[in-house]
Amino acid sequence: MLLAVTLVLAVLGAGCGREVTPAQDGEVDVTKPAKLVATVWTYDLAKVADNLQRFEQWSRARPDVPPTTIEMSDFPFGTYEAALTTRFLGGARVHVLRGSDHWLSKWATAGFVVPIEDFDPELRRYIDDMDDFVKPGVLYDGKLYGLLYYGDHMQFVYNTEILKRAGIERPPQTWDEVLAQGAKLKAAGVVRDVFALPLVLSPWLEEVFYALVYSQGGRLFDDQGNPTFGEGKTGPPLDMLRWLVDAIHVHGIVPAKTLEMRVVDVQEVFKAGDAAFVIVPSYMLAEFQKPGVSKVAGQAQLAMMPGTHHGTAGFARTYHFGRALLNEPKHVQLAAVKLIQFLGGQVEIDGVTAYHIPKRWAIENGLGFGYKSMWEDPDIVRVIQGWGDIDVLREQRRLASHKEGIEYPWYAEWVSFFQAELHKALMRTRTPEDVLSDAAKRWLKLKAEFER
Amino acid sequence: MPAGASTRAGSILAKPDHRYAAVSILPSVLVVFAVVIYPLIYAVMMSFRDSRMGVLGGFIGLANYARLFSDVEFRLAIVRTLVLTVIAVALVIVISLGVAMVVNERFRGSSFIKLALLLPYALPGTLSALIWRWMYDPSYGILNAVLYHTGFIKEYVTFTGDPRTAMGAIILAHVWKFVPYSAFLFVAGLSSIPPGLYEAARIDGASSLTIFRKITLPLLAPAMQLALIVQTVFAVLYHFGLVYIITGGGPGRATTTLPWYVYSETFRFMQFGRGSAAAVVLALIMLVFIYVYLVALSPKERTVS
Repeated sequence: MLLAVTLVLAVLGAGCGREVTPAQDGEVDVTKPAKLVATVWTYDLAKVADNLQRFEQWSRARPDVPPTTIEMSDFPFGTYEAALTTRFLGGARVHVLRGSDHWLSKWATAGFVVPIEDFDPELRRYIDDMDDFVKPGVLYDGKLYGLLYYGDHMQFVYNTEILKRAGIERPPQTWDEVLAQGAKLKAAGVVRDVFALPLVLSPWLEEVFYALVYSQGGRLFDDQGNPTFGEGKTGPPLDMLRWLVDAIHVHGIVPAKTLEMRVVDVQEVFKAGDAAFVIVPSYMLAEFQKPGVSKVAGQAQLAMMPGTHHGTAGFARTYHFGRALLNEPKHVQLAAVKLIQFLGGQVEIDGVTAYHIPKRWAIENGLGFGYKSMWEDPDIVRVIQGWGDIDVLREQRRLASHKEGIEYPWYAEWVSFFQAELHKALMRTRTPEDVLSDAAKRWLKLKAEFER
Repeated sequence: MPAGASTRAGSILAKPDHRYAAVSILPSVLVVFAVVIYPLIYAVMMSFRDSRMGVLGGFIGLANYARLFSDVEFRLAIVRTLVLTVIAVALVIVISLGVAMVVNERFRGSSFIKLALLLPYALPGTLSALIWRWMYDPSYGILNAVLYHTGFIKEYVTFTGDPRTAMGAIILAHVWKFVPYSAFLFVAGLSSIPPGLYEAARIDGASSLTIFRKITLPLLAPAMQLALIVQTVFAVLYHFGLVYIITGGGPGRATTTLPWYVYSETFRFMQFGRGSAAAVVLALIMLVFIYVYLVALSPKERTVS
């Protein structure tokens, strides 16, 4: 079956690479109905559908927006990238779609997504309001390719009750303290898994590793896109990989099973009260504090990432325009511009201009955001304060950085190699030095291939 | 086309029955050409071209194949695929033959067992993969719970996060799903063996083992051949869903097999040239297996001694 799909894909691929440009300027008839095709991944679909329905109603009430109907399709996050690649190659009509920062460089290079600023240069105004760590998720080669509906970072979360039972008064500030407190928690026998991390082969593995490196003030790539790690090189990447290996095999603080834990598995373990420390995307705090679905409601608390610099990795989830929009008439393109702003920007509803949909996700689902001005929204502040320490959350997000290297189109191929190599180090089938040395060589090889 | 052949084709189509037959199968032929033959040819051509990030490049000869075979991970993926295929097919065949011998007997509840046996195969692949992922779960999985409470393990273990057990976990889930298919093939084969042969053998004093070796196995050869071919295709290709859902090719690359490699190159890295080349290698491996089965179990070999 896979072979057949690959073969069919190969055929479809023949249709790619055509040069198409946005429709020429001209009068836009805003009275003409527009039909848009939107693709999302499967997350709270009822709310996504409701948001789209709200847009449809909003578009009919506005004299400057074509009355719009939206056809939505969804795919699970795990298969989303493959599904979208197939659709793009097949020339499917996808006008507005969700994306993620780690896909943008290759999608943009392949021409699957197109700059949204080409449809309305005014959209660039959002860039100033964005946190730096989310910008690689929407900017490629200097052009704006999307708007955010969700921006977040990897957050250190601990269980206050479990620490209290072991006589620990405050969360760890450094990675040595994590080990010391972990030993104390183990000795006290108050928790099954001291420190659970989502280290299965998935994007979360790289998020965690980047977060560890950033927490020590380290970098993975310099400004020229060359790795800071590699043969004979020392520094935070090597230090933190060694730390992680020892935390699993020497100290027994991180369970070996962490190599098969997805981020939702870590969430479940923490919610069940079976872990003292976790590193997860910060949006999970809302779920941790929900009575009825979490046994640790009221016990979860945020702490700054342990380390010398307390930095962390941030990421962006976005909306983009598919290349199919280039072939649509102007009124459909205008509807898409309005839709992407409705979903990931500011629009006026009932006389209030705000990031209505990102705000809705933040308040109702606890999703993070990447627009600085949203921190000033009293509704958002009030809700976050109900979940945890907003000052820690805000400071941690200030110290978040994007995953270096993500802006290069070969990142996806390299990071897949890197994840598997990280696993080998974590399983102790290879040394951290060898793993980082090979990862650096692979990066340079791919870089040379693409630049050639 | 030679003139003689053209004339022969013309004379065949001149008969109304033949014309009717040709028209009847034409839609199927067109569909097969459109979704199998043409993509196959195109993929082979693609494997000789430079193609990355969804953009088709020029002809590069065997460069994609050279790069693949210089990649140690590709070679290891072939080895893992072969190991998985050999073990999975052997287990499926042996277990399903045993199951078929049991359910072929008439006893109270045998109909229910036959029906229940179909369940694993009837479940959608994704669903059965999810079931196994939950069973293997290192924190709350039922497999850990059973082993722990029966005293086989002192603490919960990781099945799919350990390179020593991850492939075994994939094979076990695969075998569970595909045993019923072959079991029913064998049941059909067993029911076609004339009972008189068994009665004659018993009268001659043959033991059960001798009867199995000299009568059952030879007469099951057609079913065995079909089972081997189908199970090989299943093992080479259909474990992909399990890898996709349970291990993601890990830990490390412990479960990175050829289908996963093809998927990664094609969908994740958008290296369509290399992905096509890897898919061609995958197809060739399957053809070799199938050829071996066809030769080894050809009809002339089947005799009852």
